Amino acid sequence: MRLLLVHGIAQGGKNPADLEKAWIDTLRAGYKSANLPFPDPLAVDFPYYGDALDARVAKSKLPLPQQIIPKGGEAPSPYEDFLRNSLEEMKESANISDAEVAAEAGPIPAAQKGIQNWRLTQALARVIDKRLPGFTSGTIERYLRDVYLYVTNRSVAREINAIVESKLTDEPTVVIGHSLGTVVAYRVLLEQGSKVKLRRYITVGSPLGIRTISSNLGVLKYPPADLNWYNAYDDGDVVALNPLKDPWFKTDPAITNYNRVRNTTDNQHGIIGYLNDVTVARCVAEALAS
Amino acid sequence: MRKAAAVTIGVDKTGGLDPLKSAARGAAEVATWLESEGFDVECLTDGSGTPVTASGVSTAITKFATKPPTYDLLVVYFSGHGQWHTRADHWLLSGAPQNTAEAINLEGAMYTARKSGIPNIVFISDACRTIPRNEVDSLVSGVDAFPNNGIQSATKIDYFKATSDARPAWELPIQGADQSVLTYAILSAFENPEPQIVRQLGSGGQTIQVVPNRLLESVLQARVDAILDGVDGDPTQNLETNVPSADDVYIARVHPQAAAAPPPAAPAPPPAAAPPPAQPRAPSPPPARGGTRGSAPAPAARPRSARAVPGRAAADAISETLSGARGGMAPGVNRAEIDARTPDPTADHFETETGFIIRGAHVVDAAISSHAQSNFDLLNSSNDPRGDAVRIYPGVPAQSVVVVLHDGRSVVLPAVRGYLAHAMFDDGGLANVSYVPSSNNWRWNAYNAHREDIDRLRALVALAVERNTFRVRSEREAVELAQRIRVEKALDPTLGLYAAYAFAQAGIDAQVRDIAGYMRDDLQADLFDVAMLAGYAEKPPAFTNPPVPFCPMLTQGWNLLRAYHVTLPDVLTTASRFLSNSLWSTFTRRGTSLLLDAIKSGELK
Repeated sequence: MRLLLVHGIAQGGKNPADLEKAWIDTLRAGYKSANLPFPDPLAVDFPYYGDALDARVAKSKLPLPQQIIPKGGEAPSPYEDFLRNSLEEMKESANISDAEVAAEAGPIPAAQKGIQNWRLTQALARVIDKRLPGFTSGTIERYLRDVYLYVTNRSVAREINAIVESKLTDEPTVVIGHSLGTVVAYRVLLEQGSKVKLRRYITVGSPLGIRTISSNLGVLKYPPADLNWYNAYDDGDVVALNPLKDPWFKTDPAITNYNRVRNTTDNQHGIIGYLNDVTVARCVAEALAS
Repeated sequence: MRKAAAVTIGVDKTGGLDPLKSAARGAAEVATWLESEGFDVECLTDGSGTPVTASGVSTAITKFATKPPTYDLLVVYFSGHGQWHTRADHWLLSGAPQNTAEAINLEGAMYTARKSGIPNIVFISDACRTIPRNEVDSLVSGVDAFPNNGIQSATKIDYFKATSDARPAWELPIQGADQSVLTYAILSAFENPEPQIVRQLGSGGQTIQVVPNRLLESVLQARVDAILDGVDGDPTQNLETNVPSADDVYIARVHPQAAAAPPPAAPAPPPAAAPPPAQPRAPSPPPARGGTRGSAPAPAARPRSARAVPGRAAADAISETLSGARGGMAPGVNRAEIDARTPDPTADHFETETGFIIRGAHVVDAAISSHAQSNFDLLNSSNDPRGDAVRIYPGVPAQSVVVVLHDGRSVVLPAVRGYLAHAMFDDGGLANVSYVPSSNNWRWNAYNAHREDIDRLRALVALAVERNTFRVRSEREAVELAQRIRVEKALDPTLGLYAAYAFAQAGIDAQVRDIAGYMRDDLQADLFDVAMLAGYAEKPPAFTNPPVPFCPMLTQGWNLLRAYHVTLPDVLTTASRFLSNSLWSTFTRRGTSLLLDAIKSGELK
C-alpha cells in the first residue's frame, strides 16, 4: 500500500523532503488524536512540482488582478473573466455583501462601466484576503492566477501532470490532494487511472467546487476506486467553500463531503490544518488499512 | 462509460399551420429509443394537448447543459413545423407565430451550445425549412434555448437537417402509419444498418456494435431518397448534414435485433411508401410498429443533393488549396459559379479610391450618416463605363452606407477607404461582396501580385459559405487559412469576415480575435460581424470608432446577436423583420424606408 501526496500552490523554492515531513507529521497527529496506530513503515510518494509551476508562472507573465489596468470598455480577456467569475463565486459562498465590496473599493469616479467593474473585482479580492487573517495581501490573486495557468494551459498541465504521473505504480494507492493538488491529482487519475490501483481519493481544501475552475476540466468524472472519494474542508476555507456535489461538482456516484474540519492554520486552508483532523485521519487510516 | 442525454421535442400543432400527425409521436418514439440506450431524456410533446414552450425547452436543455459539464453527449431532436428565415432555422413551438419568442432559433442554439462544455452535441432537425408564408411568420425570432455557460472547449456539433435551405420536409404514410421521413430514416439505419456503417467499439469492458455519426451521415441521404422514391408528386428532401465529430462518436448501438442477426447478403428493397397527400403529413392511426423498419436501400440509389454538391466541391477545393495540393479549378466546381464571385477587373478604381461596384441590380440611392462627413456620387452605365456604382468621398477610414436598389431593396455595407466593394445581386438579394484594393491605392501592388490566388480562394469560400459547407476541418487548416487570407501585411476583408465566422463556428476564439486585431490595424476600423464574433461589438476598444456597418453584414449574423450579447438600436431590430434570405444582409422595401429614415434622423450613424 502506498500513499501519494499531491501538494498545492506556493510551494516553490521549498525542500520537498521538508514538505513531505510536514504532511506526514500532521497525519501522525491526526492518527494520534484518533487513537490509531500510525502505519510504520509507510511507503510515501511526494511528487514535487512547486518549482516547475513557479517557473511557468514567471514565464507566463500573467499579471495579478491589482496589476491589471482595464482599457476603457474593452471586452475582458479570458483571464480577466476567470478571475472575476471565480471571485464572484467565492463572494457568494462566503456571504460577502456588495456593500462590503463597495466600501473596500472606495469612491469610484463616474467612469466607463468596464473600469468600474474591474475596480470592484480588485476590491473583492482584497476583501477576501482580509476576511482570512492568514492571507496576506494578494494571496487569493496569486492562487487564482496559478490555478488559471494550470487549468487553461495544456502545456503547463502536461508538465505538472507528468511529475505526478511519474510516481504512479501498480500497487494499491491512497491519493491525497490538497488545494490545486486536488485538481492535478483529479486530472492524473482520470487520464492515467489505468496505471494505478486507486484505493481511495481524498481531497482536502479543494477548489473543485468553484465552477469557474471545474468548467475547464471537461466533463466531470469519478475516478474509479475501491472506496468512495472523500472530500474534507473547513467551511471557512475560502477556496473550498462549496461541497463537491450538485450543482457545484456533480458526479455519479456521489462524493462524500465532510465540512467540519476546523483548520487551525491562519488562513484555514493550510495542509497542516487538514490532515490532523480526526475524521480525515480515520478516513485515511481506513483506506490504508484495508 | 459515456454519459448521454437527450431532449426530444415534438410539436404537431403550431398556430394556424396544418396539424402534423407524426411529430409528437416521433419525438416520443425517439425518446423511448434513446432511454433504452441509457440516455437521460427529457421529452416535450404536445401529444397530450400540453403546449410545448420555449421556456420548457430551455429548461430541459439547461438540465443537461450544466456548468461544469456532466454529460459527454447531448442529442437535441425536433420534429414539427419549421421555417428558414434570415438564413436560420426556426423550430416552431405551440405558441408560434403569435408569440414570436415561441420558437427555437437553431443557429443561435448551435452557437451557444458551443460554449456548453459538452464534448459532443447532435442536433436532429426533422422540420421544414421553407421561407415564412407571410409577414406574421417572418416576425418569429425564437430563443437560443442553451444556457450561456461560456466554457471554452472544443465542443463538436453534428447536425442532421431534414432538407436544404428554403425547402420542405415531409411526413407521409410508411408501413401503414404517418411518419416523418428523416426520423424514419434515422431509426431504420439503427435497426437495419448497412454492414459497412457498423463499427465495433469497446464500452465498459464489453464490445458493442454502433453506427458512428459519420457513417450514419454517409447513408442517410440514400435512405431518404429510397423512402421518397415513387411517391406521388415526386417530393425530395436534400439533407443538410455536418458531422465534425470523431470516428467513434455515435448516438446509439445497432438495434439488438439487427445486431444479433447475421448481416444481410444483399440490401433489401426500400420500404414501400404510400402516396403522400397533396400536403405533407396526413392523418393516420398510430403505427403498429411490429417488426423492423425498412432495410438499407439499393446501393445504386443516388443522393438527390444536386444543390449541395457544388458547395461540397468548393469546400473540398478550399481544403486542397490550403494543403497546397491544388491550385487550379477543382473538379465539381462550376466555372460560372466562380466567375460570378470574382471581381469585375474592368472596374478597378475610383479617384477617391473608395466605393461600390454594383452588378445584378441598379442603384438608385444611397445614404451615409452626416456623422461620417463623407459624400457620394451615384454612377450608372449611362454616365460611367464601370456600370452601376457608388463613389464614396470618405471623411473617415470606414463608414456605414445604405445602398438602395431600383426595386426598393437595400443593403448596408461599410465603405472602406482604399477599397472597392464589388457587390453582386441576384433574385434573392446580395449574393456576394468582394473588397478589392482600388488600383490607385497603395495596397494594389501587393494584391495584384497574388490576385489570381486571392480571387479564386475568395470565390471558393463565398460559394462554400453560401452552401453552408465552409468549415475549418482541423487545426492545421485553421492555421493555413489564417495565413492565406493575408495579403502581405494586410488582410483580405471579405476572407477575413468569412474566416471569422468559420473560426467562431469551430470554437477557435483566439483566431477570431487575431483576425479582428489584424483588420482593425489595417483598416482603422472594425467590421461589425468580426467585432461581434470577437466579443466586442458593443464594447469597442478605447479610442476606436464603433464597428461598421451598424449591423451584421452577413444575414446569419443576425441570429447570433443574442448569443454574443449584442443589442442593436430598436430601429434595426424592427428592420431585421424585413431581411431576405440572401447570404449578405438585404432588406426589403419596408426595411429600406426604416433605414433611410433612421439615417436622416441621426438615429443610425
